Amino acid sequence: MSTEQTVVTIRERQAMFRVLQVDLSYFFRTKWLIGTLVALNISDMLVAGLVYTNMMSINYFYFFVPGVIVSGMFAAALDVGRRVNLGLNEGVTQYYLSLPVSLNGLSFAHIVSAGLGGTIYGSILLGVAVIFVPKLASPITLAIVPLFFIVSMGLGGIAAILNLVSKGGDRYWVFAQGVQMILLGMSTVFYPISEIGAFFPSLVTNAISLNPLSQVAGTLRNVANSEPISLTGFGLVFATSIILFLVGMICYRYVFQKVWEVGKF
Amino acid sequence: MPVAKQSFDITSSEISEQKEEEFAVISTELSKDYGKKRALNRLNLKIDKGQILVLLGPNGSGKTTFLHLISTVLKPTEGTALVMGYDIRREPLKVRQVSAISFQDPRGFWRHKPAQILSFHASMYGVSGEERKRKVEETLKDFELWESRSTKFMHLSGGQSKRLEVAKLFVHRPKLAIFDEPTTMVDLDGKRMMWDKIRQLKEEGSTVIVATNEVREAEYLADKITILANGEHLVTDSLERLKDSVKGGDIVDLEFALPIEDNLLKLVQNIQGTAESKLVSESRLRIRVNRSEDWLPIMTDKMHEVGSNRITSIKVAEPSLDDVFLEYTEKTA
Amino acid sequence: MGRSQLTSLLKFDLREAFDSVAFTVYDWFFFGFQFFIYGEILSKLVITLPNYLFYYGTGLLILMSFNVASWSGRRFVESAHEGRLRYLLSLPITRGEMFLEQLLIGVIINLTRVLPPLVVILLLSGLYTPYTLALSLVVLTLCTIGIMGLMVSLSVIAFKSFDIYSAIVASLSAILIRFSTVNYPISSMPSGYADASLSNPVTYGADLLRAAVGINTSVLLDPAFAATVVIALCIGTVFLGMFFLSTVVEGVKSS
Repeated sequence: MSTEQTVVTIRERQAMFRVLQVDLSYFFRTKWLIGTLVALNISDMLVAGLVYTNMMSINYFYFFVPGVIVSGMFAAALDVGRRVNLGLNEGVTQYYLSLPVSLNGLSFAHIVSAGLGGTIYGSILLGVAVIFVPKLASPITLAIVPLFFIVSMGLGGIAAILNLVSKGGDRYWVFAQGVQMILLGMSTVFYPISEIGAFFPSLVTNAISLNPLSQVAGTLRNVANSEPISLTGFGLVFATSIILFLVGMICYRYVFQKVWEVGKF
Repeated sequence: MPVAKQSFDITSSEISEQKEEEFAVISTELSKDYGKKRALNRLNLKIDKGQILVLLGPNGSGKTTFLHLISTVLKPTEGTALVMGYDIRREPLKVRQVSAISFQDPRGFWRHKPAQILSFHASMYGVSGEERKRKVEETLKDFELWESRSTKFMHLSGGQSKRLEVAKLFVHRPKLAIFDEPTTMVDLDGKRMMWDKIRQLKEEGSTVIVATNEVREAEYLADKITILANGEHLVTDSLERLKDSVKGGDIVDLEFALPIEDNLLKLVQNIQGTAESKLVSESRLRIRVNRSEDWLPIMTDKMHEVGSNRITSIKVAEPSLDDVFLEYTEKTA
Repeated sequence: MGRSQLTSLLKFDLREAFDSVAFTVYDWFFFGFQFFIYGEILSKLVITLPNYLFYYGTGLLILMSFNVASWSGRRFVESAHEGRLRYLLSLPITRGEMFLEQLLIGVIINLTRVLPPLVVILLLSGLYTPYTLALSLVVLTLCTIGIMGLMVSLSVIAFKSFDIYSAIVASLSAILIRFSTVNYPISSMPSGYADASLSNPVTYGADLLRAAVGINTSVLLDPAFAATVVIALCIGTVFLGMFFLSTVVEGVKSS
């Protein structure tokens, strides 16, 4: 590689890093806003979780806490993806296209930022949850953090798909909420598989148990219950996320190509 | 160079004889603070009815703040103003019924179309039915927006959105029309068209206030010019008198038949109104004078008396509004 | 002149609000999914409250109204930042009329969104009568006005910053929704939570709605008292909003 090429590569990496930083700074822009969001999730755990435990035959609190962590991670990853949506509306994307970064580099930066956003926020919630569910304070819990990153990268891919589908408009938020509801609702994040099995046909029940979000929530519950974690689950999450990541790359590339060609999306 | 501020500020001398009803706006000690920063400081200004007053000032001089205050969008920190006789503090609704403002940056209705926006604006000022339809169509055509009448606001170009912002005031023709930098982002043809429309508005009876930092716009439109800087009112006067107010602003080039001698140079320098003189060549002299129309007769009389060297050419150049603007604003800076 | 201008503004804003049906459809989808899947599964897990599905469904209606009210406040903050507010402030309408228009928009949008889900709940629970439908709509309207008055008042204070408003609304929803009977009855709450919920007006709105529909009446608060609280909330927050709008609000800072 010539010196000139090396300089270009370094410049592109720097530009990608800046894009990633801007995306993340949108979500983590103020400590107290993040504090409020975390407080909201804690109130979910401590209020809804405890009250439902009083109303149910199972100890719903221990079931619910991992669910809140997963849903928080999900929301954070998609919200970081929303920065791209705003950028498309506000002309920031056009500015990015003027930077020394390729379309692939830009797409990659946006997906990774969503991945990091989900990971950081999920990890914060996990750290807080350790206080209420002491068994989560285990070395195995550290292995969950990379799992968060892998899943969040997949969610970054979903954010890219949503940006393509919403054509850069306000509908991103609506679609993101809809996807969140479906993916969380059709998983074991908030209710056990036994109840799902009684409600849905077996085919749907199987699909729900294979949902990567079910796998992550399940892994957290395994740790909380000192049960072994499933490596098959890890593999499944990894495979799904890779596919979503690749699809996301294609979607963002298409969107940015369009902006490049016609000035808007 | 000293600036004769008060002597050319007709608001403090001639206007005092005018009655209150003859003014469209009378501001009294009008002030506005943004937190600790004072954006407008005790502004006392009277604006004649039926005229175009141009507010000229550098960025941050308080022009927009003043316009927002008199259109009741902002609340004064101190002082008040009467707009068409209505107090902006006590009768804001009445103020809004007789005035309308075209904002500096056209924003707010991203998903609406120009025809909808104008129609809505007209309806808010009581223009209804067929008349509204006709006025909207006419205004869209006048402002060259007819082709894009059904394009969403967010898809208009910068110039188109600015034209739309200005066009709002032409669907109902308020008694007091306020324009904040009406032609920024607009091309040269567009500027001319909009200036003509604004002048037409005045001819039809409206009082017009235009804030700008574009000197050419001020020269084209103004009956009177007010210069603001750092939230302070510096001067209000007609363009001519403002130009005259610049000390040493007129430039007189004199060409003599023979080389200029020292005694002739001294003679010119001693004439009342000479601010500065400079030999350009052995027979050419450039002199900066306060008012060339006063200075030239004295100079020719003196030359006639001396009679040693004949003047072969006299050229006079007036100061531009740029010079006036810089003269006043640099003083405060 | 005032009424015609109010109508013009209302029409203009409604056209915009209904320009995109995505939000309305999302709300219906939200209800359908939450009610028919999440609610259904949850009701199988809940053993202390019979018919939890309908209890949960009516809670969703309150939640939808809460969201519309929050959206109204958010829209107000957005309008300040987008330059729309200063334009509205320059128009010949009073601040009071402007506030009223905001409320009407919120009420109309909310009614459009909650009507179909409400009818679904009433029909499935077998409690549908024109009377229960009308009464429920009145309660939902009162709740929307009450919460919206609060949200618009908050937005007026906080409209200098989106983040402040978002944080306030997020914190408020955390408190108002979770410490209330939107999702669970007072009887199932630990005592501290129950006390907090009893001082929360949303609790009274949720229980009043259930009383209007006729669901789980045994675990609800006294409807007459609940109605008094809701009406008081409405009047109080509307006056608060009017007060803030006419005394505090002005266009955003300019050069």
